[in-house]
Amino acid sequence: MTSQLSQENYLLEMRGISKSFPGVQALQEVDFFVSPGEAHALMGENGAGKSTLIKVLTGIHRKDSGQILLGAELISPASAAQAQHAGISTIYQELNLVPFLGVGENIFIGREPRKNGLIDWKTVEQRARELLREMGLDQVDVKEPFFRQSVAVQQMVAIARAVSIEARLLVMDEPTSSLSEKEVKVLFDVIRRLKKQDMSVIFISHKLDEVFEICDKATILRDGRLVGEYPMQELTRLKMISLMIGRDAESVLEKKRSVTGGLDDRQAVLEATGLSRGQRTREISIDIRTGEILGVAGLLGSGRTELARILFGDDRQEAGQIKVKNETVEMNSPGDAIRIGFGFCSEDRKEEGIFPNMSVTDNMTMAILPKLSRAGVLSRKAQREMAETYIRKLRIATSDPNQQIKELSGGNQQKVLLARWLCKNPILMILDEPTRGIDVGGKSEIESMIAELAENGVAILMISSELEELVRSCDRIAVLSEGRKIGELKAEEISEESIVHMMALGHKGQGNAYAG
Amino acid sequence: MDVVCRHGTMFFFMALIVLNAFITPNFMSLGTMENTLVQVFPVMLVALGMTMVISSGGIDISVGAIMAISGAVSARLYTSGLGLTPAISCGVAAACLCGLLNGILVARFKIQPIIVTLVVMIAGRGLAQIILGELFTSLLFTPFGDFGRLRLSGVPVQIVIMSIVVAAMLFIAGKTSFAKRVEAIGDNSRAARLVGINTVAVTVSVYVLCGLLCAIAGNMEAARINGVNVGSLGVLIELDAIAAVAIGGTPFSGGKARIMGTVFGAIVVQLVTIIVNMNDIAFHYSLIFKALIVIIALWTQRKK
Repeated sequence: MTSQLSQENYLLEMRGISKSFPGVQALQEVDFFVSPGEAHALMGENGAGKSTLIKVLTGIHRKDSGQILLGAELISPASAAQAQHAGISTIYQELNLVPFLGVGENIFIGREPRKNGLIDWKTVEQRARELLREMGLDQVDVKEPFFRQSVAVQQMVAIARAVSIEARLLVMDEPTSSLSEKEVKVLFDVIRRLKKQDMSVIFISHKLDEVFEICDKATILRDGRLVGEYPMQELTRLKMISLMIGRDAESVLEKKRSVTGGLDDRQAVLEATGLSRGQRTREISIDIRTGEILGVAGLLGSGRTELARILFGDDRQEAGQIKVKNETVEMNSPGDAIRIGFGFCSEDRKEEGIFPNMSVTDNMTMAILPKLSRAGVLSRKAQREMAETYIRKLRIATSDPNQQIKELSGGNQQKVLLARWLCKNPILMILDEPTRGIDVGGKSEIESMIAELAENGVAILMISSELEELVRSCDRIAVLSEGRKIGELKAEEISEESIVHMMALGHKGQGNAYAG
Repeated sequence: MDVVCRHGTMFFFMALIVLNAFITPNFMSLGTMENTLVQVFPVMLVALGMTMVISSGGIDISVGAIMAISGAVSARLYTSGLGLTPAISCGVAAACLCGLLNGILVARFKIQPIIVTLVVMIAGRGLAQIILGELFTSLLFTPFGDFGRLRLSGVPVQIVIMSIVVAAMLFIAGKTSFAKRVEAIGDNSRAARLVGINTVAVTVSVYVLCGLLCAIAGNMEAARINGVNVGSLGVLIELDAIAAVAIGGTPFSGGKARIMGTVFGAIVVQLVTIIVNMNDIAFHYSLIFKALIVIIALWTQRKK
């Protein structure tokens, strides 16, 4: 850290930034420096203060104290527009561009080149094409509506917009969360090119591999304080994780389950045979026993989520049957599945999980309202006791059970959603990407909870894109590809390589790959 | 935030009381207050039903038409010789059926609430006239009409019924798991389905409840003015009701139902009407005045 000489020319200097919210000190005297032309990772667990720092920088929150210098000029953005005007462009996970307008229009929206007072469409299209070509995107039709583009292209368009408004600093918050590997490559090429043009990038990601690949430096935060700034060469994955969570990482990421003797004699909780629905689910058969964690692996679009939907009664299968403890069941709605004793956590917490404006307590108890009510009258006391129990048990960081859930970090929201089912003593939990968008510490906690659930006899179906996670957690893994189950891996066969191998085989030689 | 919203409503309430006290002759008398409460009756009931509908993320602009249908059914059956109680019961049932239709179209067939209730609003008034067979049926000098002037220990029957309904709605919105489900659907209907809430049944119940309150409003209004006029009964009440909910602070995107907010909101709307009526200001100014208040109310509450 000797490189932090005061005469160094930083593009961005944030000094002594503090910010508190009612009951929480979100940032305490945090320093953050970004040099021109570097990609700088901002790392930390959920709740470490990353988003707050970014929100202070981009004018969404006001700092309590400290100063921000951009290119040696003191700024205190009071709105996103002001930050943008100062040269800071933010690219969020959910892009805030206009879906039905053309690609070119989106790049120049609000400052379209004009001719005789009218928008000069020719110039718009031409310049949009140039900008995208510079980023290596030749094929995009700039007149086509934005929403028809893949997420990757949409992101590029957002970046092109930032480039065209001559932003000096680009903030990327989890930019790769919905990109394929190939698309990530394209994105990284673009970032490298931007760096050459002296644009700086603040990169926030939970995917450490990417951080190591693209970033030059990392600033690590923990509990709202600065841990330190490190050149990437000085860091290893393990060291970074240790710094982020403030304890030894080895113990965190070890394999949780060293099971699994005697699983074969256990009772099958769920047996599904020949499940089919449209193109996305084709003759899938799976079974899960009590206390077993069955992983479901497969690429995006392989039909993982669709399978979960059918098993939870959200979609009706067109063929096939589902047996629960040896009895055939008919499920016409999630309500039916819940009555049988199933629980489900969606991959999309925001759209399908939380009730954003309702309290932690309400969110947690929404599935057991009948149990907490007598003659339709809800017992506030019982509701509160239930919430307090699980807030303590799962160590949910909330200032008050009545706090709105949207104010919690992703990891804590997920804990609330898990608690929603735990308090019902489920027989089967269907978890779709249970740790998506959650930092290492939170991830490890949630994985432990899942393992503990299994210990207690709950059958678990766990869908995940993260192979490491599947390898760490699962007793058995079913691999899906293009709506079919192409095989299963037993405990001793499970490794990242074996899963990848099976997924790859399923794609190539389909004829003989259905062995499993 | 809760406090701010409530205070916003209270602010309007107090401001209008004070304003009225100064400019409206004889405003600060018991008679005027009683009158205000009797007159606010239909808006209050409809707005309370509307509060639950808006809490579920919907809206119901057919409330006025449902009042007319309900009144028409009761009056037609009553004047053709059916007893008072059975006639009114049928009127109430008719309104609940309308609510059922609204609810099923919204929840089961997933049609936009504003479109569904717009259709019922347009068709409903036509239907009301067909049911009544004429534009106006008098209830003068009948027990039906007399009921509108009934006093229980000196208190007008409207105030008694209104108090009971407000208490019931406070109980429903504050204490029952039903209201939690309604709020959940309004906040995130997809998540509501995935926690096992029967979103169709809950949504339908909300519209039926709204229909029921419209029925009480329609029949009591018919009794108070001694007749059913399908051309005017409940006309434009949806606007006052929606304004009352807006002033009361229930979020229009769905979410927590604020019953007390709506109660004061309805009175605020009525106070505006009174200012206009009692000071000889032309009716059209009252519309503009109400619109302004709604805008200011939403503006002060924009921070949810």
